[in-house]
Formats: sequence, C-alpha cells, structure tokens
Amino acid sequence: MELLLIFFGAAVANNFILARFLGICPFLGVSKEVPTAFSMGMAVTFVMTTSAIVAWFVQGFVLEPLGLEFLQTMSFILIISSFVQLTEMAVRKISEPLYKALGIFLPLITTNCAILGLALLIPERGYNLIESVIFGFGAGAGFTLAIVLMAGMRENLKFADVPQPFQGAPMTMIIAGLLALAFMGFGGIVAM
Amino acid sequence: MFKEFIKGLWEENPVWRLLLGMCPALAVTTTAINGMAMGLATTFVLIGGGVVNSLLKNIIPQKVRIPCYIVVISTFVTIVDMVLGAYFPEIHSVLGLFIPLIVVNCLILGRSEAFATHNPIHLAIIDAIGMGVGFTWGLTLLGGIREFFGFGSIFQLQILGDWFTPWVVMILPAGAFLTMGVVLGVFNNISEG
Amino acid sequence: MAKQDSKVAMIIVLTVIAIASATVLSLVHSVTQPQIEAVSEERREEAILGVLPGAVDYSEIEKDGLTLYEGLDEDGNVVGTAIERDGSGYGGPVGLMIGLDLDNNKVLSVRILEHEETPGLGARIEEGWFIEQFKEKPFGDEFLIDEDLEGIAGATLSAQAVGAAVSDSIDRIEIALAGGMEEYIAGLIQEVLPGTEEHETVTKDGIELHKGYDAAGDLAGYVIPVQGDGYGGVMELKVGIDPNLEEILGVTVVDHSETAGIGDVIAEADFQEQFIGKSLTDQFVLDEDIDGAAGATVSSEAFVEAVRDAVEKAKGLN
Repeated sequence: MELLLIFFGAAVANNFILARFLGICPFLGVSKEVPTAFSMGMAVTFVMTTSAIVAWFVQGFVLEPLGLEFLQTMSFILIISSFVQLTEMAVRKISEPLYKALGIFLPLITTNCAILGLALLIPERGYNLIESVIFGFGAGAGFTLAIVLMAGMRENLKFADVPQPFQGAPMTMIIAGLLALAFMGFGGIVAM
Repeated sequence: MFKEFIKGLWEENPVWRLLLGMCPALAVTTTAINGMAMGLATTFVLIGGGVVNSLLKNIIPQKVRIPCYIVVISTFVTIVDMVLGAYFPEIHSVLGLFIPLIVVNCLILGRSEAFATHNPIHLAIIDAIGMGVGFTWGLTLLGGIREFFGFGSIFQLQILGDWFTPWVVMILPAGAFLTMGVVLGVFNNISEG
Repeated sequence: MAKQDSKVAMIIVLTVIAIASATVLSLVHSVTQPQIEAVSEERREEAILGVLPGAVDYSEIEKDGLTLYEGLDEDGNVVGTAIERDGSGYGGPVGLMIGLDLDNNKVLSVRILEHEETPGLGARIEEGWFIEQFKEKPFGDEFLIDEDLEGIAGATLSAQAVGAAVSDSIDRIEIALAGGMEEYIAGLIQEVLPGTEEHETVTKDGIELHKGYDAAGDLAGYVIPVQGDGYGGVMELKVGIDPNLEEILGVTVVDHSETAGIGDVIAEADFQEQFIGKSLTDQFVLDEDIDGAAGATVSSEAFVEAVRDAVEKAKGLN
C-alpha cells in the first residue's frame, strides 16, 4: 500500500515534469514525435531507477558514515554522469538494437535535472532501498507518460494555425500548462 | 565590453531567448521575491564558476574539461546552499531542492563551456554578470506576474483589494507553464515587430 | 594542447581540482554548520512550543527509541509532550509536530511542518479549521476522515495522512511509555489479573487469550480480549477471569473513541470496578446489575455487551 502510494505520488500526483518542473529541457526538446519521445522516456526511466539505487547506496554507505553529507551535490552529479557513461558503453556492448533505441539519448540525460533531483530527494525522504527503487521507477514512468502525451499533442499541432510569435516554445508551454491542469485531476484517482 | 553585458539582458536573454534554465524558472517563481532570490543565487554561481573556469582554461586538459567544470560549479553551488541555509533559512526552504539543482542548470555549464573558457577573465565576468542579471530579471518578472494574479500582491505588497479573487491557478504548476508561454509569445512578438 | 592531453596530466589536474574544492567546501561547511544547526534547532523549538500551549521551554527525552519533547511552563511543570512524526501523504511525506496531554490522554494541538501536497487541494491540510479539529480529541479516537474528522473535498488521502500519523504516534507513545510492546501488554494483564507476574498468549477454540501466572507459578486467571461498538467507534477491552472460571477479576479499556467528558466514563475506574467480583452466571444487564453513566447509554451498553461477550467466551473454555 505504502509502495503503491509512493509510485503514484511520483508518477502522477507529483509528476516530475508537470508538478515538480524537473526535466523540462528534454521535455521541450525531445517531444516533437511520439516514437522518439517514448524512447527518451524509456531511457530516463532506466537511468532513474538505477540512479535511485546508486544514490541510496552512496548516501547510506559512503556519505553518511563519513559525515560528508555536504559533498552530496558534488558526489551525486559526478557519480550520475560517470554512471550514465558506463551504462552507455554497456548497452552498446550488450545489445545493438537497444543501443539504437536508447543509446543516443543517454548522454543527454546527464544534464537532466530530473535525475539529480531524484537522487537528492531520496536521502531527504529517508526511503529504504525498495522504496527508492519504486520512487525512481514511478518518477520515470511519470516522465514517460508526460513526454509521450506532449509529443502526441505536438504531432497534431502541426496542422493547427498557431499565431506566428507563439509557434514553438510558447505554444508548447501553454499546452504543458493545460496538461498540468489535467494532471491535477489525478488528485482523486488514488482514493483508497 | 559593454556589448557583452547588454546582450544578456535582451538579445541573448537566458530565459526569453535562449530558453536555458527552464526548470528553476518555472518551479520557484510563485512570487517575485522567490524568483529574484533564485536569480541572484544563480548569478553568484555563474560569476564564480565563470571566473575560476576562465582562470583554469589553460591548465585543464581538453578531455577532462567537463568533469572539471562540474566540480568547480558544484563547489560554488554547495557554498550557496550552505550560506543560504545558515543565514537566509526562509529563502533556503522555499527554493529547497532547486538550489543544489543549479548544478545542472544548462545556463551555467553552457556559459562556462561556450564563453568563459574562450575569453579573458574580465570578459568572462562581464558575460556572467550580464547573463545573471538577464536571468534574474526574467525570473523576477515571471514571479511578479504570478504573484500579482495569484495573491494580488507584488513583492509581498498587497496591491489589489479584498474585491479581488486570487487566481489560484497562477501559483499552481499549471500557472507557471501558462504564464511562461504567454510571456514568451508576447516577447517574440515585440522583438520581431 | 597535445602535451596537456597526456593521461598523467589529466589525472593530476582532476585530483588537484577535486582536493581544492573539497578543502574549500570543508572550510565553508565548518563556518556555516553551527549556524545551520542553530536555525533548525530554533525551528524545532518554535514548533514544539507552538503545539504545547503554556510551554516556555522544553526538554528532550528518549523513551524506548522514541524522541519526545516535554514542554515546561514557567514553573518547570510539564504541560504536555510533543512528538515529531512523518505521515505518508499523497505527494510525499507530511511532517507533523504533535502535542499531547499524556495525563488526560488527549491531543493538545497539531502543526504541519512541511508537506508536498497539491496546492489548493491536499495543501489545505494546513488550514486552521482542519488542524483545529484535532484539539481535545481523546487518545482512543481512531482519527478517521469523514467519521471522526471532517475531511477535505478532493483530498481525502492528504487529510487521512494527518489523522493516521496522529493516531499512530499516540499508539507508539503509549507503548513506549510502558517500556515496549511486551511490557505494555504485561501491564494491561496485571491490571485485570492482580498479582500476575508472568503470562503466556494461547489460542483456544479460535479465541486468542492470555493466561496469567502468579509469583509461585500457579495459574492466576485468564485474560480475554473483546471488542464493543461504542458511540464513537470500536472499543477494545480486556477482561480478567479467575482460574476456576467463576468470577470477573478485572476489566480495562485498551482503546476507545467515546466522547470526552460523556462516553469516556467507561474508561474510569468507578465504572469498571462495578464488574469486579461479578459471577459469570450474572445477567449483566445495564441499569439492573450495572449502573450506566448518565447521558452515555450507548457507550455503557457497548461496554456491558463486550463484557457479556467475554463471559460467554470464558464459559466456552470449560
């Protein structure tokens, strides 16, 4: 029950993009077409889930025992970026199709603040390992949901007559606003 | 030299023109004061990171430059985080998670990579100040608009009377996106017309 | 540039930068840390004094792994006990400071320290009217939204998170004050079976009960847990019966949610003592064998009904 709440909290109620504003850059940049948006979402979900595990171990077994919590930001960002690079190499070795689908997005993810944000939220929440994994996976699922929905709308938008100054980013922002309003409706879905 | 400063204010404004650092721009701008605080914190890191990275540009080997920049930037970010926590606890708790996240603000790494390391230090400082001021006024404006409609006040100064029903949507996440979209569109129109 | 790209140079530069940055950060850390701690200490004190009316100071005590804050008034008297606790809200943890009156078993005040609930919906848990509802609630209350507490439209989960955290904190404190779960149960058993030193928990005919033993190791009696449907919700009782299954040795209420000042007489010794010495063959009819409390017929009836249930179960043990 608790885990289900963590999952839905991270995925829909406090969606990383639409409520926490984490990961706006890829959300604006990679949401032109549904297939690419979906691949990006998958890559982010993968990195988020694994980073959640890494962050949990680093916090619990390195930073806290050594009393170095103040180096948290620095160590997380360095670990995440090296970790993403390692993942990229590993994916390339292991599976060519998987690399084609996810690989090109992986380097982009390093500067995705959603990942660092997630890593920083985990120690703050005091989650245990399982809760951290669920939280990371939920956040990734929410990211995928938002970016795919956005891409779907932007595909249709190609045929709309948007005033010239509003084309591109401004219109995307306004759509994101409407999407964020719609996501508020999830406020009632998890009534248990 | 003046040109390097002025470009950050409008022509290459990080918020309205370059669309950099969108996450904090949307997240913390529920009031003008919050937007301004975030802008100033970012400016500090921009200047500090710009100066150090510009000084180190001849020492740092090409291949490891990004990790080095990240270390330098996160040092400044952590300093901001600790100083705000110690002396400005209210601002620290409002900005919260978004202080450490200044590290991944593309604006900062972007300026270090694109400008500071190719230019002498005094230009790097001017560029950082220009970008910082540009970012700060962008965030303050966004925060001001949202605060005005969401609370009926500006800089916590009540402007609208009791007759005004606050538009709660403006301080909700949705309001951030909507305000951003509309202001972006208006500014596009101004600069084209 | 080519010369600088040697591996040794890379490693040296990275190491030097990392060491330099760690040094700078340690310095800043050592300067700001005391101030940061002072700020969080100040906030905690403000929250503790805020939920304990009349308190001007507090002292921290450890009880069975729980950190409690005892609020003290100007003369150094304890005016209440505060506990900090995280509830599980809809958007994330809801940090609470809960002020409790452990002498009169009621809630003094609750304060929301931090939360991530949706603005306009779940965030309304911060509103005065919602928080005010907790004041003066008895410990036995179940703190259920729409039953014991008025909820928030569209944000049942956020509201329930606060209720559950309060109710959970009370349980933890009660157990901790008794010196842990085992001690807590042992205390209850001693209350209804005077002279008990040891006990064991057994299941007989599908009924879970405790057998109490005295200092000599002889059977001191049986303790039967039962429930009743009170006016405010479920009440939990423990009924102590003598080894020969002839009479009631004691009755106590573990948990109830009856109205403070009216229905909660069932938790008072005067009411409970009427049952001591009653034979199992008694009829247990309210206002005949047992005096009910004025204005609290439903609560009294529920209590008597629960005791009747315990007696039936005891008869089945033969």
